[in-house]
Amino acid sequence: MPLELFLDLYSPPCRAIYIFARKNGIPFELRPVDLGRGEHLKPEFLKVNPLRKLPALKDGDFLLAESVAILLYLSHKYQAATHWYPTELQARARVDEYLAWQHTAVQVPASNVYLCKSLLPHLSGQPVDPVQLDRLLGKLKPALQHLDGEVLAAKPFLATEQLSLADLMAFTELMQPTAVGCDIFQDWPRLAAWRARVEAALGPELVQDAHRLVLQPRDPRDAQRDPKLAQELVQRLLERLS
Amino acid sequence: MWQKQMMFPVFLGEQVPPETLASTLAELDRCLQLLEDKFLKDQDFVAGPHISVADLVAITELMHPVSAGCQVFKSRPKLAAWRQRVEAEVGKDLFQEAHAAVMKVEDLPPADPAIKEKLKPSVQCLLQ
Repeated sequence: MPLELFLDLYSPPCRAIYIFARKNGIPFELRPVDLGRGEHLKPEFLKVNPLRKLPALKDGDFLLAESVAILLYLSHKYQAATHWYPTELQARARVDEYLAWQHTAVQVPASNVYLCKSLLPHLSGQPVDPVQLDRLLGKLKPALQHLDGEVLAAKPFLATEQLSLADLMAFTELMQPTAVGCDIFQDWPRLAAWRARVEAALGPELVQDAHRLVLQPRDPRDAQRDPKLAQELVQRLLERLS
Repeated sequence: MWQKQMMFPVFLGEQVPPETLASTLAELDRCLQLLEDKFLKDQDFVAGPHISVADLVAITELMHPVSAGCQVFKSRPKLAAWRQRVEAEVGKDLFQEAHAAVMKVEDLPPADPAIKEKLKPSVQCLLQ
């Protein structure tokens, strides 16, 4: 049984894994799990990941959750080129440092902007709340300031002199609000230049393919298909964003 | 959780509203359940049969609500047993020494009022 990757390409960490696997020629079977339809909450998926989150990996009997753990597992198992996760001690520590920091500093605020701007209005049928959006953009600002003003002032990529897992994770995270109309690159020139560099290194076609879903406007009929589920998801989102 | 029950009242000079505390405790409970069911399971330690950095990270985090008076281990015998194992592996003296500051937080002298005022906005932000 080949490697199975449980992904929803609406999710940035899922896109990072998708891009990494494709870029490194890792054979896998894509198991789509639709977060917008609550498929991650269903009993079948609970068997794959009791944490009810994506991404998830199944390699034979081995089940693994958490995007960073999955990326590292794939890097090691398929012996990816060392620029992704350097062997040199301090270079590796820099990648580790970014990967640890980004969960709360980048992923949470960037995703919250996306949820407020796109998923919540889609599910609730209500217009975007501009006050909430503004507040959430404000929470992302310190991370952007740090990356643009400090990190990228010193080097071309986020952890080392070359593209690494840090850049891959950051790229898909920062594309999330951008893809739905909140262009977070527009005020940060070094970040914008870094984005172009990363896209060129990953390959524009692969990037486009991975982002196809999130770049499309959502079909309002999707939410209306199961109004009870939509309501439950809206509740969860409102709690998260409050 | 420690922040909400212990640090915030000290810093803000006011009690945390019961609803906030209730929802935080509920979330803590959910996390502890996951820790037991998904990570610990029937193993001795969080990532397998031997102590690892995962156990260190987990235990130090859980000592926070304990120091705030939240009896995390009392109602959870599985976690309590795991705590004993970690403490034994690390060494009781070292464990106590590492947690001395956080366990004594109730005895801390009052913070400098000027510093309190300065830190108040960021503390309030953490509550959101």
